[in-house]
Amino acid sequence: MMNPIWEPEFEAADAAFVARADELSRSHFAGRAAEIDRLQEYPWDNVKRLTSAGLAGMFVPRQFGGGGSTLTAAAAVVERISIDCASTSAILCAYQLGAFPLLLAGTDAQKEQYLGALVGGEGVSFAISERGAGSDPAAMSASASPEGAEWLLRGEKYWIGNGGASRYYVAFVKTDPSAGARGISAFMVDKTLPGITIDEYVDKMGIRGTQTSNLKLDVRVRDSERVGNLNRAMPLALKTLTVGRVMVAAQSVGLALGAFQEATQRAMTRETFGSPIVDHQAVAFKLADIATEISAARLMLYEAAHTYDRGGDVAALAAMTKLFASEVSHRAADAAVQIWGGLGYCKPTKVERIYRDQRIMEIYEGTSEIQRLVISRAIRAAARP
Amino acid sequence: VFLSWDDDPRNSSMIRRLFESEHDDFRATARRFFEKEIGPHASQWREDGIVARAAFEKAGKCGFLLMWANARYGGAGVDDFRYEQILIEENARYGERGFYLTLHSRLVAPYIDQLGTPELRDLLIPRCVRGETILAIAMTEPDAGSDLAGMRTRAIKDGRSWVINGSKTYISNGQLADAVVVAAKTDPASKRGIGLFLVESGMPGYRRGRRLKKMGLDAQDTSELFFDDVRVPESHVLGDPGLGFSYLTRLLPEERLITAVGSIAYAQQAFDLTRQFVRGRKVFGRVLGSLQNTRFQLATLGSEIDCLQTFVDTCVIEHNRGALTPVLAAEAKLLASELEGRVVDQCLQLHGGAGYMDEYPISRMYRDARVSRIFAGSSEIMREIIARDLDLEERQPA
Repeated sequence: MMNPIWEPEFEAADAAFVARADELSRSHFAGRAAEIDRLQEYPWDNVKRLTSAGLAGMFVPRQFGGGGSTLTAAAAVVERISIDCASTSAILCAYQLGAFPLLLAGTDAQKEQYLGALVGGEGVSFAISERGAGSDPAAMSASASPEGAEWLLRGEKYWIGNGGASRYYVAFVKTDPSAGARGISAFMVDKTLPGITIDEYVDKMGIRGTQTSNLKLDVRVRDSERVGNLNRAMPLALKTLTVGRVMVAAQSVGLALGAFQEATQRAMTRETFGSPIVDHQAVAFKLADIATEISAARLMLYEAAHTYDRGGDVAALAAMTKLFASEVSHRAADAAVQIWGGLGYCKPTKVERIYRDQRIMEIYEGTSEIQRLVISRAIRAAARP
Repeated sequence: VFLSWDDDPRNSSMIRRLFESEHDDFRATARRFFEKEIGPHASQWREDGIVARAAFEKAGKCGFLLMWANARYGGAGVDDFRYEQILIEENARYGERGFYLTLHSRLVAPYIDQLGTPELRDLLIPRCVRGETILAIAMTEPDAGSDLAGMRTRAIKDGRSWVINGSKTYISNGQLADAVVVAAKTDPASKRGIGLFLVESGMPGYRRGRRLKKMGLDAQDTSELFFDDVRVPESHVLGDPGLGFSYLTRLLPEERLITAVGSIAYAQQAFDLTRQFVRGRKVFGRVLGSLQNTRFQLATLGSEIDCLQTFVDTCVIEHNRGALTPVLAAEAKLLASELEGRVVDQCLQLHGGAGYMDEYPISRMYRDARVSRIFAGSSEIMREIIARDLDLEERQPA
């Protein structure tokens, strides 16, 4: 019997990527997930497999050595891996998207260097947040000041996904501090340069196989490392976030599917008061709700990815999809723990880990509140006479 | 008049009318104790996965354990639940959640006091009052949680003693406990043929298993326990070995009231921490707390907490006069644990990225809170108890 959750259909090229992800996830990532969570270990072995299978750089155009995949395929691969290991899927997202500003606005030389490195497994991280500036980049304090043909970058970025593991960083800094969001520029920095320090890794509730670090900047870089136009980096950040939101929706759907599978299996096999607990409506109706919500989130996800692939504007749709899918994953993880009962609170049950991994989905790439802000602004803009 | 246990009370904090001035004095003493003796060790204990024994001894010295116990055992002879409520609330705020002094005092020791032989009582109760003997109760098994009928642990009479075989899991205070009240089937033919036995450390065949790794409650040494041919002398049989089921059932309403009191206290704590956080945090050039979304969310949560606190306080009054029904206790436990879950979730969300990081207490409170809807009877069991009382089931034709 097929489970009743809606399944996407893929074009042949996309399906090939998904099949590769399915094979890797089944044979390697699923079995490693509990361990990397327990040890808080960055899974370099998984990264190597993603790289050699051509998944790390699948979203990079072919001319730069990548897989030239659609966003649909990239999302499907992330969703598939997230069913088994949210950490590995989050790392894959960081690989696929860290270099997105370069795709949008990089020079050919930059693309060749950094996208090539990425396809080979040397990650590029997106460095925009600071301790006091998360969803509000205009409040950032890191800056770059001109020194001849070079720029002196100073300050500290924080909460960098894949931080320390990535070799390169797209650092967003203020180049015109009086101009707010219109005074921000992006620069490529290499962590091996003197003047770059990564010395703080945060201890997180979940996705403990990922690394989240700081990035201290006190370094001179050439103007040729600037990505895009001076003072105009915010649109690059926002466009990157839009695609990032589709990818977090994909992680969320995968995680919710994992929770659903675990919950269903437990509901069918666990007996209390003489019958499997799925015979209780309190349990069965929970499963029905999760299945319905996952189907809806998944339909949104693939419609958003497909719209993007056709060249449509998905800024609002991506926000809606991320908002909805991440909240669906919350309810799915919560229900799965409840169905597992006391065992679901104890390690190393999969739902225990899913519950902790899930919570970041409603926070990163813009919190649910930021998504609501983006959506409500779009409503106002459209309704304005 | 005791207004609120918030350090920074709102202008119109609710007056909790159940407390008298002696309770306020007691609270001040308790607060000093938890602030000084418990709170400062909490992060170490969470790292260790267990609370130090000294915590129980110190609480014993202050007279905070088994407050109901008779004066000749060193107790205060005070059975007013409001004092225990105050300990739970102050421990929630200034102590450490995994420090299960209330379990020791109110959910295990009464079995020894009410069902044990006079000799056992004289021997153990004074030690429990002083915190020298720490207690646990072993009921749950992998396949017998809310459904005690699935219990596999057996006690078989052999001469004048009983021989216990089986295993238990999710046992709070499992590593620390020196004496464990163990529930075991004494009559396999009957669903309810259960006896209660006191097993002490050092009895041959009794073994502590793993300390379970959990999503939260990091300092609580929840464990597995194993019994291989453990010979329990007659002196350690608690009450009638066929009536364990009804003994256990008697204390369930209080257990649920205790978890409800805790849940609402943690909800209040999360609310206060978050109120403080959003006042300091700036976003888009404005204070986070001044955004309407933040204000309205906290307004809703604050209203719910005040409202439910009143209900839980009423349940405490009912309990003090012996009128806390299983249904009332189930309602309190259901609503308080679910409210705690909503509050920590929305409060974490208001912290944004910080809320996901261990260094912010809300992150830990989120992990801790998840068990509240599961232990001491899951939300589903609470609904079942409440629904049964509504008399909605189809009747079998006579």
